[in-house]
Amino acid sequence: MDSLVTQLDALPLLSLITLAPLAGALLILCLPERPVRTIQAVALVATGFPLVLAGWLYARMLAHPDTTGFLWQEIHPWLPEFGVQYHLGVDGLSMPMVLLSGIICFTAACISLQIDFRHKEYFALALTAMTGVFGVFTSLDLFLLILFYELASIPMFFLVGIWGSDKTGPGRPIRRQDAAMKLLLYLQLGGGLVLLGLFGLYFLSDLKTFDYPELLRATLAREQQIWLFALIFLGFAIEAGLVPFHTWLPDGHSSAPTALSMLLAGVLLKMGGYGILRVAVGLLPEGARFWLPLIGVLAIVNILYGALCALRQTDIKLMIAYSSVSHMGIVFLGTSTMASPELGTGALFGATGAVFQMFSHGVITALLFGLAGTVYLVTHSRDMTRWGGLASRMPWLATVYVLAALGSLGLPGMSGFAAELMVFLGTWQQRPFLAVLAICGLVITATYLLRSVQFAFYGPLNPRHAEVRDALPAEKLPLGLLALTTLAFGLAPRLLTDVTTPALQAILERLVP
Amino acid sequence: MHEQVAAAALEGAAANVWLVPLLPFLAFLILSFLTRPWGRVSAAVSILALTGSLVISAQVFWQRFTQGGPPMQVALPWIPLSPDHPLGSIELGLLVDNLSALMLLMVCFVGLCIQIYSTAYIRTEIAHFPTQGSASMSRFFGWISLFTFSMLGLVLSHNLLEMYIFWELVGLCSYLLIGFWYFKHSAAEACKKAFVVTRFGDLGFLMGILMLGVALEGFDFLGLTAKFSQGVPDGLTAGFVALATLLIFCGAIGKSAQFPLQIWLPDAMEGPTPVSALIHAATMVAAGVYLVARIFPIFHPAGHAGEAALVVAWIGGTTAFLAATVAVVQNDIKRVLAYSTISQLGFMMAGLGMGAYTAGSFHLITHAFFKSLLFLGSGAVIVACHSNDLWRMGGLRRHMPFTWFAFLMGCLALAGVPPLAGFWSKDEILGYVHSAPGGTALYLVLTFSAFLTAFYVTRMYFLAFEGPYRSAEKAPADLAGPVPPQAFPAPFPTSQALDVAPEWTEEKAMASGEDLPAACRGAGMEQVPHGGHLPHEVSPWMWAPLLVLAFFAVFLGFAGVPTGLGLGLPNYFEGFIHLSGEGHAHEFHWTPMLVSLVVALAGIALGAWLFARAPERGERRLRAALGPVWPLLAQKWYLDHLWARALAGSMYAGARASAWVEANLVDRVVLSVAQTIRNWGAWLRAEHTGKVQQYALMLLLALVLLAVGIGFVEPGFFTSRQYFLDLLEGGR
Repeated sequence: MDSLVTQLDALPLLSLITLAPLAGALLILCLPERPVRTIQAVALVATGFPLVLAGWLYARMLAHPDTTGFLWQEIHPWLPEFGVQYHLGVDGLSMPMVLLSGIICFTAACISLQIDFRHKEYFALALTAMTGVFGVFTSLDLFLLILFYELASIPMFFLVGIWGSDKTGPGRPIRRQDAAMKLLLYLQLGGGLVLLGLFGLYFLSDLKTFDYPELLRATLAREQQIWLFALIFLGFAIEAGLVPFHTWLPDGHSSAPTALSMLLAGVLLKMGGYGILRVAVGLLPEGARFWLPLIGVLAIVNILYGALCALRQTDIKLMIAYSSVSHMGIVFLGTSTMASPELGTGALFGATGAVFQMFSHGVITALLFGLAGTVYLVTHSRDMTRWGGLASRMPWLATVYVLAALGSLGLPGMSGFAAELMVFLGTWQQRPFLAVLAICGLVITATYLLRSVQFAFYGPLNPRHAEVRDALPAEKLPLGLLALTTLAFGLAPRLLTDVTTPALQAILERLVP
Repeated sequence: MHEQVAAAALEGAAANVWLVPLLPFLAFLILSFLTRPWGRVSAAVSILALTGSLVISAQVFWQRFTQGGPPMQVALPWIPLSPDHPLGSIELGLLVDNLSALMLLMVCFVGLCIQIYSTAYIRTEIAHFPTQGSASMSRFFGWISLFTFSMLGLVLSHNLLEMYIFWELVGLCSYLLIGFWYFKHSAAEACKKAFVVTRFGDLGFLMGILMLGVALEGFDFLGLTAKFSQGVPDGLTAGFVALATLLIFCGAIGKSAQFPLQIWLPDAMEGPTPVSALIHAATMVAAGVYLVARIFPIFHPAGHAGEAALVVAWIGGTTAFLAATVAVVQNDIKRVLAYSTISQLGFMMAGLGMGAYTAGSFHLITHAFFKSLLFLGSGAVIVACHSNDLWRMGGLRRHMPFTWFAFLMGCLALAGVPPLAGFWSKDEILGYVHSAPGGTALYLVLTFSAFLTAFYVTRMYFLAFEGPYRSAEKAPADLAGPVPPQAFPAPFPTSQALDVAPEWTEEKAMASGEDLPAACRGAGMEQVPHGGHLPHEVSPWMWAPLLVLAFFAVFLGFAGVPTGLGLGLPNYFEGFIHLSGEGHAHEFHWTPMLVSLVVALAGIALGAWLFARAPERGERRLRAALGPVWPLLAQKWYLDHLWARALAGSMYAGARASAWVEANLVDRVVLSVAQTIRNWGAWLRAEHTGKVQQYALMLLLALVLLAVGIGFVEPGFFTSRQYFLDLLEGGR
């Protein structure tokens, strides 16, 4: 058994995870347009394989919680004259994100079976984006990271623009083409700022390298760190939906096809949060100590403003998108506690809560989008006031939606609660007033989510939908998998915290003055 | 979390105590995933599991009762981030002391009675809805089991954070069960209201937990309360402790439906009646009182009432009074009981606030028995009469003798007639408040509320059980029907009206002539065609649990008879549930006991005088006598509207403001930036004329400008080749 593990470890495991979807995409391009089933099968295999592999690596990491540093590293020279390498590796911070990407990509691929035209292009583009997503979390070379970031964001433009849906009904109409353009521009703006910051890091550090472990040794003056942190943070924060740079998020997430909404909310936002923790905070401790207190305040704006905007929506996908803005505020708030790691356990709780929230929000929001999209498929409307009483016709979807809504509003037993509790506990130890404001968001969250349950599933059945169907087995599998994940991590948060704690403690140690 | 407290490990029967909540949870899982299609099997599994819990909790109780000893606890790390640090991990554990052992027994016993009753009852409700089959029964028992699990977990909680976890789960179960008939618009609205209103309280609860726990570096009950045994701990001010405890108390205000968050409880009637019994007696509302009892030493550091305790007492007193007045005017039998629950919880809070730890807990226990009895009885009555409206009942004494007897016992216990359970426990509270320093005003308020209690109980009893059976046809048209009647329109919109409305509503459904089950309409006050049958007992499964509960409603009080009374009975309850440092020793006084006896009898006499012979005339007299107060009471002191306006209104106003900012500021800036860039693009596009000569001219111009520019800043550019090479090298 051990020898088998050793032999397997000799394989480039992370490359296999990262490049499998891309290989699938290339294969699909070589396949004929029909039969569609072959294309779908390739897509499922190309996403199922990384999920299994990521789950296996995660389990091994969980079994040895004391390991520190980067595991399963792969280093190949690529552009040596620029200090760019093909360098992959994971630690306790990135491994949960890789697992999350595996889950989301696989479930998104399952939900993509609903796509009913131009399959070949759709799956090729979606799988390419998925490789980008995995790559962001596995690469340890920052140039490679930004490259994967672009690989993940550019296909989104086509996917949203071609296969998306328009928002009609009350309020401002949103055309999917406009939403796609907005999304692309914002993501490029974010990427550009990060790239600018990385070039700054490259030139100012005198190391002339983009290699992350190398850059950890860089010594930068405080002023330089402050400027670089601002650039890199802002770039990643745009991607993570920081108010007021968030408007691409509701438009893009709500216009995207279901599986892409899951991918966008589930992992693309997390690339921003991960980038902040890994690059901005991880490499620029002085800059972090300078800026993080302010970020705590911005986080509160995110939490409350996003929740209030969500309360105003009748379009269910827009509501979920604004709830993402609100929930990403929890990630920012948790991150901001890292400003004072020397005071008690607040920073550790806050940082762990931030990572936990990224994971939990990824799963729950993907679930919500998956459910909303599946219902949209049969009701042909995204306006929940026009749904009404659907629980009578689709009990399975209604049950899981209630479960997801409860998870999203932070009910104990689901992952969202553990995340929020840790962030609140961490924040309270440092800045109780911010925690008070953040806690107030809980009641707004409960209101808009239960309101959506009431509009969509409770009440008398709207005769418009007298003949709708419940979920098909092919939809139950991915949605059920997501629901079980949030329950498992909610009941046993150690599944995640045991993995993240060493990595976060390493980052926090660098932040102690 | 590593406080040195005198606590033992779980031993003896208590070593199995983890099974008590676990069994109902397993039942929930089995019912949800295995026995869903077979309703009766589900009911059997659920009842069997709870019976197991009851047996174990009885053993635990007996162990505590006979052996006593220090509290026993065990804790396991749930989120251990930094185990060496006092605030480094979040733990889950079990705490078994006398209070939790007694609560376990009460919850299991009352829960079991309710479940047995439900086997027969829920089928009558399911019969109303032809689309609902056996799966509804499984769903019902599954959620009831989950509810019981959450409450048992709450009772056994070892620290504040764990209690918050189960606290929220209790809230979840009430949400699910109140909205059990999810296709009723009123149920859908009521369950959301219950969850959101209690969550307002929970905000404070969580803040209070964090405030206290972070300051004292620990969340476990024994450690926290031990720190307050010698007064307010060092390093904290009394004001800080008062604020923190009041924030924690906010949670109790929400869950136990205290003023001003009492508005959700009457609407919670939308759930099936056994759910109301469970919520009102054994589980949800008891949680708030249990919380206050659990952290009683923090409210009363070193045995002296802190600043927060007085607030608790007065909130309890206010609630007791307001709810009792509203109960007087209700026509819906379940609403009378709902307001009486709120009122009785107010008594408990008032007692706990004034320092009556034993009396408050005693009333919690006795109330659980007689209130669940009354609710289950009202369910039987509603099934028999097909209506909630007291004016469509009457004369049930002759038609439903078992229910009548049990219900009467419940009424007498609630009214405070000796020697039934409610008398002893309520009198303990009143006596304690009477003798407490500064308690006179509160005592008067509570005594008046006790008078009102006796009065509205009598009114309810006579309307339902005495006189002739009125039925729908003979109900007085001007008195029957929902309160407030249409004649008193609401001054403010309620929460629903502040938001957008769904496209399809019950009104539209009815207008379209769709055949909705009658119980879907309105608040369940409508009459289902009855076929001229007289009401009768439904099933022994329904009245047998009533008689069991009635037994306790009658005799449970003897467990806590004051020793000073000279009956020769030891006060078992006080011997079992007391705090070592409980305030000034409670002496027995004859005055308050006689006063409460007189008050109870006076209330009953007034009620009997008005309602025994000709209830219609009595009611008209009552309304005339109340004058302008009657609409005030009928509108629940306008508190619902006020709070809908204040809480929901401010939230929706905030939402509208945010949406406006989003559309008109944030997005507009983005769009105008985009438009500007587009305009530049349009300007540049004008240069693309397609004329090659023009392009060449532009190119030449650009080159000249570039050369001049570079030459201006770098004079060596045109003269030195070396400079050029340096420039290229420097890029490396």
